[in-house]
Amino acid sequence: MKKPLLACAVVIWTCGQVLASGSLSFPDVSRGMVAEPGDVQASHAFAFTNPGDGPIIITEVKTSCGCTTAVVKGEASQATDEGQERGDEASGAEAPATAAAPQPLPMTFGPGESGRVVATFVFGDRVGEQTKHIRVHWREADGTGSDHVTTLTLNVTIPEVLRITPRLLYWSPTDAKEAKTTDITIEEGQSVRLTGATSSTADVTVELQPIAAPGNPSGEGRRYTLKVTPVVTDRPTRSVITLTTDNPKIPAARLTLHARLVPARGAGMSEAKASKQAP
Amino acid sequence: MNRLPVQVLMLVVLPVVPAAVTAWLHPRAPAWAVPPLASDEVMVEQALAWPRVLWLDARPRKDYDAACIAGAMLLNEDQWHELLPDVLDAWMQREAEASDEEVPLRIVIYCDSLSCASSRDVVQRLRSETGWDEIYLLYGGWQAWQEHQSR
Repeated sequence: MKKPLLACAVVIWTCGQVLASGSLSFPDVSRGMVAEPGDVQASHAFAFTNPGDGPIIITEVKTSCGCTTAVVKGEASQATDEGQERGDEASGAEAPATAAAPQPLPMTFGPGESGRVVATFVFGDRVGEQTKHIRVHWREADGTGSDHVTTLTLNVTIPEVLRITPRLLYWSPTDAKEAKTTDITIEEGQSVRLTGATSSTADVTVELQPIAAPGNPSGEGRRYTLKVTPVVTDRPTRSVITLTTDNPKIPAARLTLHARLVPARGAGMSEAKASKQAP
Repeated sequence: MNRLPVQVLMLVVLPVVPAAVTAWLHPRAPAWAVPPLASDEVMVEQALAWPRVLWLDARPRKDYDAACIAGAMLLNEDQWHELLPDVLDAWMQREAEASDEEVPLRIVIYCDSLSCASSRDVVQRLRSETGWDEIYLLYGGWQAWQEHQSR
């Protein structure tokens, strides 16, 4: 008779401990965004509350990439910068350093208090689908519980104007020094037309040709092939090939390809050593 | 009655109980075993045994400037277009100077630690943009390298 009573007491005590302990509740732990051309960063404020009966301490916030920062803000700071910050934001200018100043952690949130984890992802030269994680470490202030981690996710699609495969045209010592080609595709939804291609050196020649496609016999505007032919083959060469378009807003760096040629073993090796730092 | 075997047994068994509880409940308990490496991942010891390696550091510039693997070059997606030409030049220079065609140059990329995803992104992008297969991710990254050096 005593054993069932003891078991019930243990269960009731355990449930009481769980209910009495604090917790951190994020209604939304994942956010997807699509950047516009010209955007350089995206940010999102992940709201949270402490619905428990005990205070919670946020001890640490870690991001999966040096390109992403995350700051914790309480209700007080939320009131002061309400007008400056929307829930989602993608912008063409990086936030001023003061806006990303790290909040001193640990921070304590009492029962019923709320706050936000503001994550900011600076794109740099990234393109395509990007997933950045923010790990929020927290625990109950009374020290009864273990450490917890809530992982927040920021999914950002950074549109790529052109898909160039490959971007490096490389002739190894054993390759025949013949022309190589690369495919260039204008991504869906992008309004741009290639108008030409130039090489930074005369070591290679370049030729841009549109590719015909069903429903688009001329191929004009969607797909191209770039033919690169080495002219100099007896010494290492390097060339930067730049595509030109009818859209001046596209950064030049996104329109570049690289050509590198290493001559066959024994051919021009003295020149190879001499051109160690050659551009 | 000889109590010694019982005492020895107690000394052996009793510590196992708290150890097992800790291993079960500890939030930062290490993995029981090293997970199998993906085909493009390499351990520090294995990479050091390769005769021709170009190390690339995918961490932010400030971390690279503070300390890096000797001879490593910086390549991250913060400044991809600015950094890539120098990496290609170093790569081709190694190819031009190589005397043994049978030994491929391997590129090994690292970032902070297991939880860091930057090196994975750089591996995929460099493979995609260059078409080169001999590009690997250093398992455990800079943290694993430092632990290996401190042994």
